[in-house]
Amino acid sequence: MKDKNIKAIIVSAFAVISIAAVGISPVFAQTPRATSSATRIQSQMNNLVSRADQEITRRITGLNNLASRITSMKRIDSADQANISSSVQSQISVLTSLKTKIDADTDIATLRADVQSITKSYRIYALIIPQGAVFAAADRAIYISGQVDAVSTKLSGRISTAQTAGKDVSAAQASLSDLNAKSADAKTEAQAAVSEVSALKPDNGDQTLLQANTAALKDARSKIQAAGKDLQAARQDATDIIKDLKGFEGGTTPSTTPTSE
Amino acid sequence: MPQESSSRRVVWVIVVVVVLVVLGLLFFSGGQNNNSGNALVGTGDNSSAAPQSQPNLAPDQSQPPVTNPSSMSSPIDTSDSALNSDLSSIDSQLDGLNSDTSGINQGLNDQPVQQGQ
Repeated sequence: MKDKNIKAIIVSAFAVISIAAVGISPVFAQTPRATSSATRIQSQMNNLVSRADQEITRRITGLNNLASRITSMKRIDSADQANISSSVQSQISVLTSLKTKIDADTDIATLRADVQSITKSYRIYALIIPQGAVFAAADRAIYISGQVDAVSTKLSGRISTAQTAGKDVSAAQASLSDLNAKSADAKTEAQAAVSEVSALKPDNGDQTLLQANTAALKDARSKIQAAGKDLQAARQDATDIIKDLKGFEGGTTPSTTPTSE
Repeated sequence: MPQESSSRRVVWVIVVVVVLVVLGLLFFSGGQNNNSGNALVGTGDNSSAAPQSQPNLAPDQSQPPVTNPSSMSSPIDTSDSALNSDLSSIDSQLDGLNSDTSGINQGLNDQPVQQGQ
């Protein structure tokens, strides 16, 4: 009788364990290996789409900013301006369409191919962005040069007045000459930078062309930097001249050396 | 009497074993759930996902435009205050030119994001 009871208890115990195991079994059925080929692929696709969207959005934002800046340019040749503007708008359209397609892709092979095409389109993006930045910088440098010229005219009048009054304006005159030379050089450098990059074409994977484009963009950057230094020097010349003019009015000795070379 | 006591011990042992087994199963199933969740979050295949790094910042082409010549004083005003105002305007534009030059640098340094398989 006792043995029967023990057997009954053992059987009941196994029954409880079995029921518990059956209850838990759906959990095990959901392990990645068992279920999730489809789930994992879908998850990968979601991840790819999310990152691709992020990357495309970043580029479109940069291109839109550049487009806005191009619109405000006034001192760059209209043909160059139209070309870069057209390239920017075209690239925005390509990327926007690509984003729409990626968002709608339903199989991972197509999605991967579309995501790869973002990288391929990078060739164009990588050229347009610095090219547009050179145009923007050159446009501003030419504008500043115009401002400096306007100041030069005013300073020239003040120097003439001082000279008529018998003051020694040789230092101020030297500074003014330097200011004018620096302003002219800045304009020349800026225009040369634009000329250097305006005709560049996307390399489309051609390494030689890629290197040539990069070299041209870097050289244009050097020209813009040189224009910036010229304009800084011209600005300092203006400060020196004003100091000289104030010295004339106060009866003090004017400074005698122009700051820039 | 000793036999009955022995039987009770066996029963208790079996009950304890059953409880331990059930608890063990529940604990193990919980771990599986967590692992499954992680697998979904991580996708298990980051190498195939597109970018391997944070996207680079787009070059900032949003510097202020240069179409505000009114910031310069009147061309016939050669006073000190007019000249100072003109120089302030030039300074502002020179700052903008520095930003523009930085934009060129960013454009040249921007890197394509790796798109793995």
